[in-house]
Amino acid sequence: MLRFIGRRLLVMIPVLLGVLIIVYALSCFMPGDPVINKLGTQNYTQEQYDAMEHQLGLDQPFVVRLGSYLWGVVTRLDLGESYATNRPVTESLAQRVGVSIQLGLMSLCLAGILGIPIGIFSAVRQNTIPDYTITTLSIILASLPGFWLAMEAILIFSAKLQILPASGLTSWKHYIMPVVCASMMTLASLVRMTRSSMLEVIRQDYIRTARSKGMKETRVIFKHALKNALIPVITVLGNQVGMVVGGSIIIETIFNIPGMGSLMLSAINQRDYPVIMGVTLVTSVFVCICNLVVDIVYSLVDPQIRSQFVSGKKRGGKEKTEKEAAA
Amino acid sequence: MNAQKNSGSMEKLRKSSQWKDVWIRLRRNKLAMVGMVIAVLLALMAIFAPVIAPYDYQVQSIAERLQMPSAQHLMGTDNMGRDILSRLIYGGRISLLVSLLAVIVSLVIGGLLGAVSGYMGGKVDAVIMRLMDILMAIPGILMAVCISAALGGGVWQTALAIAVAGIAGVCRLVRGQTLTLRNQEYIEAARASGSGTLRILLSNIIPNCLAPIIVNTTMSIGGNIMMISALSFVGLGVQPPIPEWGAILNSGREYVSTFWPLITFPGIAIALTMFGFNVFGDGLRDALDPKLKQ
Amino acid sequence: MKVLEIKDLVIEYQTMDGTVHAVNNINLDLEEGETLGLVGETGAGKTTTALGVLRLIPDPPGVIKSGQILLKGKDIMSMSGEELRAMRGDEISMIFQDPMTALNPVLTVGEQIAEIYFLHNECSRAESMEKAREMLEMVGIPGERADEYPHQFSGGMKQRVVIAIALACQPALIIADEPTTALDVTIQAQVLDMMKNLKDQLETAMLLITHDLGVVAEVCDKVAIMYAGEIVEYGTLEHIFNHTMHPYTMGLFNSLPSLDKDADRLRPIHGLMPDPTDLPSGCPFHPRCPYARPECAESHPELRDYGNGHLARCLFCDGQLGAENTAEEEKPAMAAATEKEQTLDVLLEAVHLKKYFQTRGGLLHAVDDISFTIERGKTLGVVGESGCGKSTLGRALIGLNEATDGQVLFEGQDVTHLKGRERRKFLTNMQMIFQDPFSSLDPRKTVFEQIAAPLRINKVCRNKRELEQRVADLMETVGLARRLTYSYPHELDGGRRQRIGVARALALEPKFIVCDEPVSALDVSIQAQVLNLLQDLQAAKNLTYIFITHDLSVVRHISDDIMVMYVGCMVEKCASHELFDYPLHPYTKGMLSAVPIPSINMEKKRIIMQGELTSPVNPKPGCRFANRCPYATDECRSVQPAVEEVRPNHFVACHHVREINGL
Repeated sequence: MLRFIGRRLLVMIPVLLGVLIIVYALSCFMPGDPVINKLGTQNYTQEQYDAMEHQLGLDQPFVVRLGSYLWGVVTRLDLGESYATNRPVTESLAQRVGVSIQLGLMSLCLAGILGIPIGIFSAVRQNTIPDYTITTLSIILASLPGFWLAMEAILIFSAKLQILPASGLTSWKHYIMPVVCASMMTLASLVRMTRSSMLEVIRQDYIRTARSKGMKETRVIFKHALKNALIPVITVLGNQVGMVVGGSIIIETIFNIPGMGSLMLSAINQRDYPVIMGVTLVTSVFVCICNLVVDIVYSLVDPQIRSQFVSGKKRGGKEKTEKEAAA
Repeated sequence: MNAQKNSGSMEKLRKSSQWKDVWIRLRRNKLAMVGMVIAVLLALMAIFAPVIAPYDYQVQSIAERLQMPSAQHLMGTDNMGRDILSRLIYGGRISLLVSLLAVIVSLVIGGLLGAVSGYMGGKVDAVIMRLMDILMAIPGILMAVCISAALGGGVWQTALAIAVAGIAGVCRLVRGQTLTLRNQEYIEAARASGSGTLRILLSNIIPNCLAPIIVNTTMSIGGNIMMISALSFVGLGVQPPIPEWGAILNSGREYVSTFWPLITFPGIAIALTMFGFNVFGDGLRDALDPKLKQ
Repeated sequence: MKVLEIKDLVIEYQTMDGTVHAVNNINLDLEEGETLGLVGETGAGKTTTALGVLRLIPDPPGVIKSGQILLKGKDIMSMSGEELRAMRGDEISMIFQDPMTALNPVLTVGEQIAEIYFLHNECSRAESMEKAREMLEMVGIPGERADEYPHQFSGGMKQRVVIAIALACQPALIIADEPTTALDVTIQAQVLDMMKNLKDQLETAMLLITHDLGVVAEVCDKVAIMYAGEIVEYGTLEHIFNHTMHPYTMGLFNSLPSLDKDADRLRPIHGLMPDPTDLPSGCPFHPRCPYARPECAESHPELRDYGNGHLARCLFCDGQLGAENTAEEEKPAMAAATEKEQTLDVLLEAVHLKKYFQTRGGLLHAVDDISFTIERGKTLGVVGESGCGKSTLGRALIGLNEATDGQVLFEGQDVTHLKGRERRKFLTNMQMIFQDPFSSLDPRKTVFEQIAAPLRINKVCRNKRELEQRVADLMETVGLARRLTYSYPHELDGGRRQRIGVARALALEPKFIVCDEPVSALDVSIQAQVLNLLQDLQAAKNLTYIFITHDLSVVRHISDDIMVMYVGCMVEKCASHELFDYPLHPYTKGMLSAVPIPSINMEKKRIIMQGELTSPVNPKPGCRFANRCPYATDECRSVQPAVEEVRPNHFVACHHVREINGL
């Protein structure tokens, strides 16, 4: 198992390097000139400009700049200095990353804790009024953008009813609206996914076998169907991590939460490339780690995958070729 | 003679039958029909925006700013005194256009990459999939934000930003489909008849991937519209004075506790669109699923 | 005492297309310890009947309309949910068809067996596990494997686990739904043998659902033949096999290729099983019945007793059937050509052909050094169990899997590694018919497009008119009606689909066709139709076939020569009748004796081969059959035997073939 985690961590490295390269390349297309921004004035001499350009390292060819940036990141975790504040990006990120990850994780957990049981309930009660209600509600919820929900929530709960605070992040009450708004869409899609996966599993032969053994329906569902039904749901949950994190970054800005979202937005307005890259990198790391966790959970649920870790084989390949060869 | 004539008309009849079946199943699904009506209405609204919109979306009138809905302004006016309804109608035009462009771009690029990756396998597959891993590691919205910030505002730039964010999803979908199809015997049969790789991709694999692709595309149109709004909401994407739903929503942020029409109406527009395309896509999925044919 | 009585059972499914009359007025009873075979083709209502007994019909859409089911006199229909659960698994248990899907992939097999004790005997967890291990031992699996998951077991082993679950509580009745259909013939023999022994040991009654009359002859006491939801004939084995009364039962027997005689042509039942939403008036079989008279379309016959409990549902089956109505006899597609030419004309030769696959476990030797020749106009049958490499061999010959080593010579020309245009040109000589008529046709293309595709690719036709004409001719050749030209595959049945596959293979007028299990997915009556078609075509066009199959009776019926494969190697090759009369290799002998024969008049000695196929991945040196062979010596385990011509034209790969056979 440890070897598996180690290998997965190794695979993450090229992915993250790729992320860095893409983002760095993109940042070079960004309009506006960081040198002029940095000089802070339109009245500058060519010498001043050249000096500043040199100081920022922008006079070197792209590959060299990319290389030295990557080197800095890999060896010293150095994401460069913010053009706007002259402070190391790592520093400003460090202050804000906790808040964002906290919100992201809370939203994910809320979606999972509510979404999966509701989906199961809905599947077990297929074609009843509760099922219709849940499916209809989840279709509607899946269509509501989080940032709009956030604004409506402020309108209703802060402005009209005045029961929840609209900005900041100082008490537990402050968490309610951002977390709920960021998780709703994922919650809805988890409900739908769990339901359909469960219905699919219930049709399988081994469920018929279980029923023919004479067990109660609840045991059939929880002992035999649930684990199988969760396998595709976990995959979906993994794919949704990025969506939740991205969504919650935008929602942060609405609630004036001092997370990475507001940092990112102000960086975009000021063409502050190092910060943009830093935020994107940190988010990608988070997404990768979440996917790793998903893979581990996956292997706990599916013995077929687990046994392949033990024997050190990766999944897929062998079976396919054998099938090709056989029959 | 007669027989030939007959077979000709039979051919016409038969060719359409598969899609006719889909249509019949789709029509039974009321929710899907609701979705389709929403999508069609939206398209009509976009095409005939100048005819439908009661006011010019640009005309400002500070005297009439932030008016509540009334007979004159069905949805009220915004902070510049512009008619919100008219701006929403024109905004739909932009959203739909950008979203469609983005869908097409990501479909073509992602679809091709996915088909090649799945069919060729081996090293090609490994390279493409690692690239997609990288794209998947960056949350879609952040990706779109970065690209949009790099390329600047504008319809094409925004479409491209959204499209890139969608490529990985399409690619994986098509690759998965291709992988299952590749081992089907009819692909081997085609090879045994002498078909080359390109021919098999174009005439066997892609047509058979069509159903999930159609469903995915339908749903992406809705999803993209939300992404576009999110971009304009944070001040990127399509730039003013072009009205865009997210931008309108953003302009309401200042008045979040005082003037609800500027938040609620554009939000409903986005949500309704997404709802329409989502349920239509769901319905299509069921209608196209051959498993339900029996 | 009667264990099970079914009285006037009617089961229907409500579907969008109308009501499916799955089971109509079934009456059955089963004595203690007795085995009843429920026989019929796909869609006859066998499985529905079985699920009905357990009250496991999916509802909706299924409904048990009326009837009584009595288990030891207790009415199952009036049981509460609690009583039903107590009965299932304890008094009646079920063995399902496909062992691959019948076990839960995320639970260990031990847990899945132990559950039964936990549910019905109020055992503690540890006790249940202990009993589960004992049960595993009983079905021939080491008890310590109880902690493994289903994917770690082979198909035959999984079916043993399923049987262990079914027998765990020593039920009064086991319902076995095609328990061995998914298994290879030698494994089937092991499992059938085990089931028979355990059943006798535990005095359990069994309702065996099958389409295989051979299995019925082997294990059943009584037989019920089902057709379109009704029982059409019912009686003892002796009644059914030696005094067949109903025309449908006769048709089933006539459709079967036989292992022990060379019939030239099979006599299939024409047409298809009727649409269960729209059954024909009168006798449901009359549209297909060769003895049908006008009365048959009008009155629905009752199931009548013709003495000693031999029941049949036919108006005229008591000796009044009269002459066979041959008007419907399908004409051979073309007048049979003159006698096969008697020249020794080698069309295709394989020389030391090898096909290896790189897998994560190592090198998979799918085809390992096989050489043979095929003469023009002949059929070479290739038999073997799943995983023996027979399909890979077929694909290597036609270049779908490029051979790793060795040569394929076609009319003396090396065609092993052709590419591009040359390969395409060569493919006009050699085509393939695929196994699965459901996956070998592109679901989005019409029949016309399917057949036209090879013609288009190779630009055979100059214009559209010519193409249409060619396709129409081909369809006629394989017996497909013109009106189906623009149908889609899903609108057609298996037999018609396979005819499309045949037409597609014929389109380029090849000299040689690789038939990869072309009939194994079809019901017997349809299988016979397709086999006849293939034989007629061969006669008319002087075609050469390689016929790959696992079904020994089919291969005997169609082949001139037969090659037996075992784990990538050829173990025996000779003329068809010689193989069946004088098998020399111990594997061939075992395999032949394992085939259940649909006749009760032959005493046969069965050699049960223990163990399973060795893995073709990184095979150990030595004979691959050594681990299962009763004659294996140290030499066999270390040196791989070469192929030798032991008798004229009879090739065997075995070190001890002479001693074993006294040659």
